[in-house]
Amino acid sequence: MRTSLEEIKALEAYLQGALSTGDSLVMSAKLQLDTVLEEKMEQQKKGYELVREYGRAKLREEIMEVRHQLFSLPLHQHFKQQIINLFKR
Amino acid sequence: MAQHLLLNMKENLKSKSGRGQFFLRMYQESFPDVANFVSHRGGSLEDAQDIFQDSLIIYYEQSVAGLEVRSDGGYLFGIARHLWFKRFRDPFNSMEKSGMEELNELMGTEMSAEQDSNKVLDFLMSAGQKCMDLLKSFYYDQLSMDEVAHKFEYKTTRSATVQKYKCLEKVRDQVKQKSLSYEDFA
Repeated sequence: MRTSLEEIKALEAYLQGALSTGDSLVMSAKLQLDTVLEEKMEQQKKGYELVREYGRAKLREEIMEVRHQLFSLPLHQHFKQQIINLFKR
Repeated sequence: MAQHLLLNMKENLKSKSGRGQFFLRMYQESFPDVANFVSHRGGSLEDAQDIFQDSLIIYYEQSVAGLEVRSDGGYLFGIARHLWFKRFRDPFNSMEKSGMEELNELMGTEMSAEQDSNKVLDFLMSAGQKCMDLLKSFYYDQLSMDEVAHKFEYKTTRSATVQKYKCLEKVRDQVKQKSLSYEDFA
């Protein structure tokens, strides 16, 4: 694996707390001395957050598909009516 | 519930079709109770739909993270009721607060407001759909690298792992190029 990917792997292990105490200390020192590396770590953290947002957005789409089926297909007409009746005043 | 049933459920959640079946079953089993609960407290059908959707997301994330979750509707109803009280009863909780903010608080994570999700998705798509789906499978759906390799048809787990880091690098580069910050999405 090329060096830049090894660096991503190492940062991931550091962020996950998966490094040994010694390796983690070495990484902490590197991050303090190397601002470029620290920026990369921050960008990587943001990357993980964006992947989670992507995952949630995709899951939301899947749930919306199910909801659409339940509230539009004739097969589920009874279910839909049951729910609508709950909100009739 | 029996351990093997719980394992089956977790296996089912790994595929889109399995999740679809699970969500359908949960809607049929639990949504009437949640809707009834919300209706009796003056909420709308839309409120009930929003709360139920967020409950399913929380349930899913807890389940794939390996937390002990029951697969019956009562557990889901409990999450929905909790969300309802947080959203509408807590005097310290602004009525303006979006569902996403509550979800963030509950899950201890950060998330963009729903209306901005298209912006986030557009941005992420620049890293490539396949890359995003691969990263999602590993980091969000929490599939093992063996499962990721199989799903994305890599010959070896190692080549899938290398690809995962390449994709992460792409996302990271996108973050760098666009000098992204949370303010851009908030």
